[in-house]
Amino acid sequence: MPRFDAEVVVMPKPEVADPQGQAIEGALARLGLTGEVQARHIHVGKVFRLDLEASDRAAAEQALHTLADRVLANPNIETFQLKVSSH
Amino acid sequence: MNLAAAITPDLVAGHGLRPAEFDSIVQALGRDPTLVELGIYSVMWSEHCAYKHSRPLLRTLPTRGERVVVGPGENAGVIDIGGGLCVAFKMESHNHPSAVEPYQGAATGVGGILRDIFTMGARPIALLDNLRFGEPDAPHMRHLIEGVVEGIAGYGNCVGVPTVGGDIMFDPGHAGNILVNVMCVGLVRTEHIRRGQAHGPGNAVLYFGSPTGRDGIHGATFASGELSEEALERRSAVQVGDPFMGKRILECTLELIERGLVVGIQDMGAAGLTCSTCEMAGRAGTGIEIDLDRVPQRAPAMSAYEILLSESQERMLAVCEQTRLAEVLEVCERWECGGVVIGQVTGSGRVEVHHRGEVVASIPANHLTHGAPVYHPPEAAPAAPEEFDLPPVLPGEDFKTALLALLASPTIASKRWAYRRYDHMVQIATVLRPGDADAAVLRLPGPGEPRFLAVTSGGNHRLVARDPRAGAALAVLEAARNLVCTGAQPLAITNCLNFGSPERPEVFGQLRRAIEGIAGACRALDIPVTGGNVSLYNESGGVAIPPTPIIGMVGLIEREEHITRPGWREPGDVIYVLGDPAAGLGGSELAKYLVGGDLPGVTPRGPLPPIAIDREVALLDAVRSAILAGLIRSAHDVSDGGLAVTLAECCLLSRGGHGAWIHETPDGDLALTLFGELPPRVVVSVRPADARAFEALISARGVACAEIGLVGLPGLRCADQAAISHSEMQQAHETPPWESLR
Repeated sequence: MPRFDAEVVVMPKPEVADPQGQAIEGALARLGLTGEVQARHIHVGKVFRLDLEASDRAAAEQALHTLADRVLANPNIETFQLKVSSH
Repeated sequence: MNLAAAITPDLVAGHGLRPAEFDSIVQALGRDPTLVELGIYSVMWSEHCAYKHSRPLLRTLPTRGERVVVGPGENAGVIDIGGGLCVAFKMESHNHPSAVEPYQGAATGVGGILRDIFTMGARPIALLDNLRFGEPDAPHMRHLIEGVVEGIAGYGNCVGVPTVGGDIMFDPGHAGNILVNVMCVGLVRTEHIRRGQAHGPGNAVLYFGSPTGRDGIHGATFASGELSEEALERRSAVQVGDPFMGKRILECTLELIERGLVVGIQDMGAAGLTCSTCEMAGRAGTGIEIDLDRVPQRAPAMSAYEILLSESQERMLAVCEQTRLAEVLEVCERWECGGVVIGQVTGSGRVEVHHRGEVVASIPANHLTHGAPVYHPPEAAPAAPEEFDLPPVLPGEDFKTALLALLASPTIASKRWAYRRYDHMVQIATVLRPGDADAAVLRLPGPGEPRFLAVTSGGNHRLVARDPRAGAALAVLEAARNLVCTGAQPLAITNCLNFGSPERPEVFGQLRRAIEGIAGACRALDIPVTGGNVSLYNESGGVAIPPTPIIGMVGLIEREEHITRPGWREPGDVIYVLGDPAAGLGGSELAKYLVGGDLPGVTPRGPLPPIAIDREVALLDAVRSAILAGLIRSAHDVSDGGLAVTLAECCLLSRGGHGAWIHETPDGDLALTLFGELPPRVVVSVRPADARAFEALISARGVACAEIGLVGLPGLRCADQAAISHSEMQQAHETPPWESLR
């Protein structure tokens, strides 16, 4: 079966509070790193990389979507994006 | 969303408002409400905020007492425990959010009840959680259980408040609608008690804490016909808790109060900014004017509707005099809580909201807080439970099998799998920890001889389902018994009433009877109800949950030597059962276990045995008197699983590993005696030298007292039944629920 490189990027939904991102914004200000360049709206997510074996790309994408929706992301508070490329 | 949308009957209905309610709004305003106003009314007149169906019933609860400092209607009840110290405590539900997103739902439930307590000026010292799940064998239920327990731990542990008690029960009736009730207890010096009132026109209205985002915006919004994809996506935006911000606003609030810098203060919980402004103005008989453009916002381009109805967590509203403003802002700055003045108190009696240069809402505060209609829905008497025949006397091997099965059943088994994840020692005041005793005991601060606070919360819905009035009274009595068994004097209760839709006659019938039961038990015990929460509409698939009133109770232990534990102390001590003999198996864990098919003809239903409240009060009085007289070595209340489970727990909780030899059971039917749960009883052990004095003291109070055995070698031997070893009991009791079901 063909192999695929897969990547799932999970991010908090834009409308949901992101205490981690807010903490980093606070840290930037405390460390004096907000002088010349303003870094704002920081959001913290996570990236998963995995190998997939599937009959074709569509099947790989389908399987990856299920995986992301059911396990890797919490659809209540997170969104995800999928990338599938040939190995 | 189109803010200038025409107010159609559909839109009104979509906001959960009835035509008559809408007419009342039009009359109060002298015009049609704007969409923003409709949203405000929708929230403020919801059952959650206005108690439309339950208010007349709640008024029948006894709320007065010489210790009561603040009764129902404020953020939390407060009682005086002497020495200039008061206890603030309250219970709340977070059922629906936890069913959708268990971790954040439970975490924000903890955050919310903490705010209710420190808003009163009290420092939170303990949390308790009462959880109701479906049977834990379904994978989805396991996910909910794990998430809720982690969420409680995640918030409580980070914020530094110990989780010391509560209960967990599993019942198919809660599978579609789990319950997450959280109680918080705090301490406050009498002079620091603050109320959520916006006094003094001209005073500044200050916002501090997290910025406002589009979290948990009232579901009714989206019932209107103009749903975009984007809006649908937003609806699922659940509230995410930030315990570190929670800790900062806790410290900031307490400093503001202790330094006398604020006139009134209120947290933003359900319905956020709307609820807090309206309630503060309503309670003080003043008005409030706020400008939404000054409200810190997390998301760009939020509408007035969204800002007002957002349920973002960790936000506070304070009222302070203009002359103290600089000091207040300095405190907020130091705690990194970002204080902003968003408006002022007015004498207009109205809540007036400005946004982008326009007045988007102007409502009489009093109409919002006190104008909600009260409903007296039709009610029906709950169906009488079926009778069933008592099972025959259990032969030897069956006793052992039944006891081990009950010890391993999810509701009775040790909850170590849950509370081991909770920090129950932070603040280092916890004397009796979760699993140690019938209630948690905490050391109180202060000079002189140490005093202690005992806290407990629980309620057996299986009893309430059979007889709402008696079952709810029994929940109060059990809470009192739990406290008394640790040596405490019960002082006051809070409650959380979890029921189905009050618009169902049988549910309203349950609610009325349950409240009558609570009121009756409180009057008999002479303790007040200082507040609570009502959670209605707990249903799934058109079926209501079993009626589940949860009772939280606090009590006082004046002397260290009165603290009593359930475990056996010394071999040779005499074991007594106090209270009237068991009179039935209706609603018992044994009956539930037997439905598994072991004994034909037994159904889980069956009426409760009759309960005489005055006899229960006498029992409590007798146990407490004997503890104060120094005659009791150990005490444990007989509850789920009956006498057999209680005896097993006394063995398991014995620090020396002692067991019990039960040579006599007080009456004939062994199954009834060993596994019957009602009427309530208490197991105590007494030094042989004190036995005479003890018996005399108990008998003088007209309480039945039966000597049933002796503390002895490890294990449990019951008359001629097969002996059960310590390790067999321990293994059964310590097995997590999902493993016992494999």
